[in-house]
Amino acid sequence: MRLNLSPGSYGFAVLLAAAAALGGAALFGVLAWRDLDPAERAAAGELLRRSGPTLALGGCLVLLVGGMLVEWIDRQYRRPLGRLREQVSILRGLSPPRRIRPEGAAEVQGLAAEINALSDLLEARRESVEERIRAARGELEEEKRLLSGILAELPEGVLVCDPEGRIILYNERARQWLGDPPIGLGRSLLSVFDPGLFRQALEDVASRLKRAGREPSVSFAARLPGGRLLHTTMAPLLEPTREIRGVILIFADATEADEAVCRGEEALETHFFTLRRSVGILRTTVEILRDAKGLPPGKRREFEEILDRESRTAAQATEEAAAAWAAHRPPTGAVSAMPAGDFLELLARRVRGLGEIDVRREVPHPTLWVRADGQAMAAAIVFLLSRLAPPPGGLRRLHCRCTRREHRVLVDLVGTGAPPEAAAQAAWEREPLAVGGVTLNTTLAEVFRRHRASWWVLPPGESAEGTLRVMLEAAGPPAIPPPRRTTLLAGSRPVYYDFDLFAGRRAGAALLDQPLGLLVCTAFDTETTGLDPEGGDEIVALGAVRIVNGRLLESEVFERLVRPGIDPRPESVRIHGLGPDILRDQPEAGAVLAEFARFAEGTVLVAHHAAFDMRLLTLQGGRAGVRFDQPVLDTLLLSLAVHPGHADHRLEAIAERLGVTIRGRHTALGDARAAAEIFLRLTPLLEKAGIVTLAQALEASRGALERRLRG
Amino acid sequence: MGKTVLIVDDEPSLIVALQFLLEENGFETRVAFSGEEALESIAAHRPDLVLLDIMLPAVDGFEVCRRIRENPETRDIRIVLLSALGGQAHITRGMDLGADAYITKPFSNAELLSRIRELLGCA
Repeated sequence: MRLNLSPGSYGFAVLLAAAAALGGAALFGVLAWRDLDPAERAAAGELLRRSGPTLALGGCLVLLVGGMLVEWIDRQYRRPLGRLREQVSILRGLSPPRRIRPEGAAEVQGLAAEINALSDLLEARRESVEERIRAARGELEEEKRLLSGILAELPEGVLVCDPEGRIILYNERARQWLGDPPIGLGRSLLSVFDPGLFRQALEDVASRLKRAGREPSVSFAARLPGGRLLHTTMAPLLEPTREIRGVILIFADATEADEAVCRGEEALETHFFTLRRSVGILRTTVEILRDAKGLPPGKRREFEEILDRESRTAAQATEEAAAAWAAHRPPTGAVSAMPAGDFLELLARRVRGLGEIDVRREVPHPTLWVRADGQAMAAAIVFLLSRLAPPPGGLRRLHCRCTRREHRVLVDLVGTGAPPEAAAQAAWEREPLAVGGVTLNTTLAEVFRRHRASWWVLPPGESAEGTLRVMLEAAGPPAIPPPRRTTLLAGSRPVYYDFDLFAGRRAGAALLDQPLGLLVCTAFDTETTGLDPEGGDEIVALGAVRIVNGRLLESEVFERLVRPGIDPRPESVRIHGLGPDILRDQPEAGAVLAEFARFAEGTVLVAHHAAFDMRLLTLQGGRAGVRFDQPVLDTLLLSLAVHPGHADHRLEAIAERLGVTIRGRHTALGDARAAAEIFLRLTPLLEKAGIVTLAQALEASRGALERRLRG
Repeated sequence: MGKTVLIVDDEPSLIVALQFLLEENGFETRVAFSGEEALESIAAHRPDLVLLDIMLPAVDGFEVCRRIRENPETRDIRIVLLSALGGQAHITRGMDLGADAYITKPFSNAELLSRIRELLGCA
């Protein structure tokens, strides 16, 4: 055992006590000796001489007992108390806590038992709190799933953003409609949506809010750069103080309806104009022929020719007007487009519900779509079938097929028997529609009118057995496929949202005062033709990922190859593997940088050894008229600020130090992802060093750079 | 001597018919197939009334109407717009630009003649 003799230690105290006892005994001897006269001193000397060994033995005994006492106190109190303290301090950081082994004196053992009881109590409390947190988190997740399910299935596009246009939530449809360049969390809506229009609408909402009793939401039409026309409704999200914290935008695609109306009206106007003109000439000429007396035969013939010509023109214009109207009629509201195949499948299911009927159907081409309220139209057709061949024993076999005829789709149901009497047919049209015990509160006539559809029965021919033919309007398949229907699966995240982004806004602080953990960042990396941007080396690949609220968003990445103006140097090709062959057909830097600028708009740039990449962005961006003037954080400098003692601050070294695995080193995206993860790991370390906000991080980076330059 | 009517239309069939109709009813006629031609004809031989189609190539009827009213020498010529463009918007615009009447095609010959006579004060 190593004896600690420093002042204040137990060993020092024991030594001090021993020294004091010896010193006291010596002092007592000296003082007693001085009070004795010579005779007594001689007697005492004699006594000491005679009983010296006994006294020495006694002294040794006293020392031995003292030593044993010290050892006993040490074993019973000092050491157990020391170990107890160590165990308590370990116990503080452990979950679940380790039991403390009772040892030493009864009092010390009692203390250990009390501490064990206390830590059991704490553990029980902690578990109950954690259980409650887990339950609450589960409920929250459930609500999020429900919300995302609803949002994903909505026919409208939904997007939530803050008053500056920073996107907080969006659904798949909004992404599809607005998606060029792709929208993403934390990015600005205003890169795809007209900023002036957005601000005007926001002002309008704000002014409506000030006047009590008015509906604060506003609706307007927005034409996107790609030509899509979105009917947009903007509604405010309010703070308890009634300040606008964000807005909800609800989009409905009005492109198709608008184009149909425009084209239809244009066509109608043109044909009506021609028609009016021709009829005008016809009328004038006819009236002349009727009224003029003594018309010379030559003149009469001339007018007759005019009549002939103009009546043909009028007839043709009438036909064309009718065709234009049929082609461009705006769709009716309650009837939507569906694949003809889906409709036939639904219809076949309903027909089988009538009884033992052998239903066969031909699968139509997938591009054949009809305009139908599937449920209502199927019910109407089943109703007709049950009237045409009333059970029992009426309908036994039915063959269904769809064919397209210009702007219409003919649905043929072969096997219905002979056409009905006109009177019966008229009666069915007015009868309340009831199928399979369900009354639909409508009539056959109403359903067909709503669909602009009609029906008739072809009489049985030599081979057929009578066919019910239903004519529906044809529809084109939608230009954008509907969102995938897998969105209700647990765990999937079809809607990309992050309510925490509000927290960043609520601080209301300028970007520089934002904590690093709340920054929206774009971590990026470039691969180049060589290492000398000033000497003409250029970007050949650009990769980037986004960090929002301390999370790396795997769903929002940017990865492009670039065709450089010069061939990559062989030593660079050896590193990144991007040779001239691969790069030949890639877009030029200008286009890629413009796209990247939109991707990175409104975010803080993060890169490892950012100075190099930024020089390339500045040089090549400048040539293309693209500017990158947002703040930049360099993971190399931040690492220097946190670990000034380490010499190695290469990407691999920092990654290893911080436990980051680099996937795809020397690919732009792989290195960008590594920089992002390093940044995320550096953030808490920086916070510990008092570097919390963006401004502080920039200041620390500058300091680290200065120290490094000084040497 | 009869009043002179300038017929402006790019449709030869209608011009033939209108010319016959007006001459049968004692008017003198001139014809023009375009806006420019009409303005030249008006400058050379001032008519009493212009029957003016709106949809003309290049210089349209509205423009011809405006220029006739701008020029002090031609300001008091009567103008009847004759058009296959229906709708209140076109009628209002034509009357605003100084037309005396707007007749939509198709029209009856009797109606046209009575409007012309009315405007020329020879009812």
